[in-house]
Amino acid sequence: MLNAKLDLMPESAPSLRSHILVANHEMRPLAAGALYWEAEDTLLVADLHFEKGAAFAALGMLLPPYDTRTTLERLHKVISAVEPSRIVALGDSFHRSNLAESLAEDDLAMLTRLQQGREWYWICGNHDPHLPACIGGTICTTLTINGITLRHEPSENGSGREIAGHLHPVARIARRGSVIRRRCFATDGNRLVMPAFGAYAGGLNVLDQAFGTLFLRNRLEAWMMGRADVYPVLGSLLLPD
Amino acid sequence: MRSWSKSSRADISTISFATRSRGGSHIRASVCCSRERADAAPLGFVANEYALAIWALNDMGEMVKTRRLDLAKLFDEDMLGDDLDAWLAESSLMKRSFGVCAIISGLIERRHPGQEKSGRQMTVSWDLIYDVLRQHEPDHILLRAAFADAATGLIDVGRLNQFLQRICGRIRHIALSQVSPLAVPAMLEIRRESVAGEASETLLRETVEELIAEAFSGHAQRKA
Repeated sequence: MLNAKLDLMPESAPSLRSHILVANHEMRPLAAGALYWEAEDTLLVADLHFEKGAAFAALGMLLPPYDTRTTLERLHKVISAVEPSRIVALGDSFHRSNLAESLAEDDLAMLTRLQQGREWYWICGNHDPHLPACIGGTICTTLTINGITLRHEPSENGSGREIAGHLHPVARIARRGSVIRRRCFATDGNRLVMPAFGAYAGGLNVLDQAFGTLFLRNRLEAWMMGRADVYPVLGSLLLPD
Repeated sequence: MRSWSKSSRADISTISFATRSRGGSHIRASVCCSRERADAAPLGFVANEYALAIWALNDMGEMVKTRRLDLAKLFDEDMLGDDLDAWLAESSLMKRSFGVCAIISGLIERRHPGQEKSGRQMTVSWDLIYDVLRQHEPDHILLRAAFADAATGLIDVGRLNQFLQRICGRIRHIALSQVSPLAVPAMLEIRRESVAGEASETLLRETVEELIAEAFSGHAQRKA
C-alpha cells in the first residue's frame, strides 16, 4: 500500500508539495515572502531593509519615508496568519545599523507588539552588523536549529544545510510569449536562499553570477511568489534578465 | 468587432476592433479593465487610431459566440467609473507614468544606456516606491501628476465617453478565419502593453501543472 502510494508520487514531481524540503526538513513558503517551519513553529524572513528610505534621504535622495511602516504591516499580516512562537530575521533587517536606534516611535511600538509572546532573533547582515539592544529580541551572527544553519550570507563552501538571505533572488520565466518576473525562494534541496521581504528591497536574477555555484544546477528550483500561492518552477525553465 | 483565434494550440486569441473614428488609442486602458471583469484573462493590448487588439488566454471569439462575453456590456459607458480608476491604479501603464514623473521631479535618477547596473542595494525601483506611496499618501502630488498624465495622454476620458456613446448599440461581431488587413498594423505591435492580472497567475499555475504532468509521464516511462 505504501509502495503504491510512493509510485504515484515520484520525488521528481516538484509541485505536488506545498512544502520545500531543505535537508529533509519541510518548510512552507508563504506568498508574502516568508518561510514557515512548522515542525519548529518558526517563521523566517530575510532582508527587511527597515529604514532604507531614511538611508537614501540622508544621501539626498528623498524617497517616501513609509517603507518601514509598509514592511512592518506586511510582517504583521504574515505573523497573524501563522502565529509562530519564534521568528528569525535573516539579516539586513535594517538598511544601516545606526538607523535602528532612530526608528520612529510608532514603528518601534509596532515592532515591540509583534515581538510580544514570541522568541525573536535578529541575525546580523552586512548592512546591520551592529544592532542596538533597543530593538528587542536576541542578536546573533548565525543560528542553528535542528541541524539547519540560518545565516545572512550563504556560505560559498560547506555542506549546505542552510537557509540564507542577502541575494534577493528573483526568477524570470516565459510562458506563451509573456514574461513573468517574481521574487522567489531559490533552493536545490540542501541550501535555500530567501526572497527579500522589505518594501524597498529590489531583486537579483537567480541565474546571475552572484549566485555562483551555490546551487546544484540540475536540482535548482525557484518557488515563485504569486498573489496567493507560491509556484515551484524547475531551474531549467528559468531565464536570465 | 472582429475576432480571430489561433486555434492550433489555442495559444492566444486576439480580438481586434476597427473603427473609422479617431477614438481608438483612447479606449485601450478601459477596455482592458472591463476585460478583466469579463474573465477573459487578457494578457495585453495595443491600439492605434483606428484599431484595438487585445490578446487573452481565453478564446474571446468563442466567448462572444456562446454569450459568455457581452460586447455591448463590455463597451458600456459605466466602465468609466471606479472600475477604470481601480484598474488604472494597478496597471503597468500608471506605474510607468509614475516613473516618468519621478524622474522629472528628481526623486529617482535615470539610468542611462551603457551605465553599469549599480546592484540591488544601490537603487530603488519606482514600482516599489509607487506601491508604498500609494498606500500611505494616495494624494501625493507625484501620484496626481501621474494620474493626470495617464488620464489625458494615454486615455482621454472625455473622448472615450463620446466614443462609447457613439458605438452604443452599433457593435457587430464577425468571426474571421484569418487576420483582417485592418488589424495587421496593431497585431505587428502585439505584446507592447501587457496587463498585470489573473492571467500571469494562470500562466504560473499552468507552468507548474505541466511540470507535474511531465514528471508523471517520465516516471511512468522509467517504470515501463
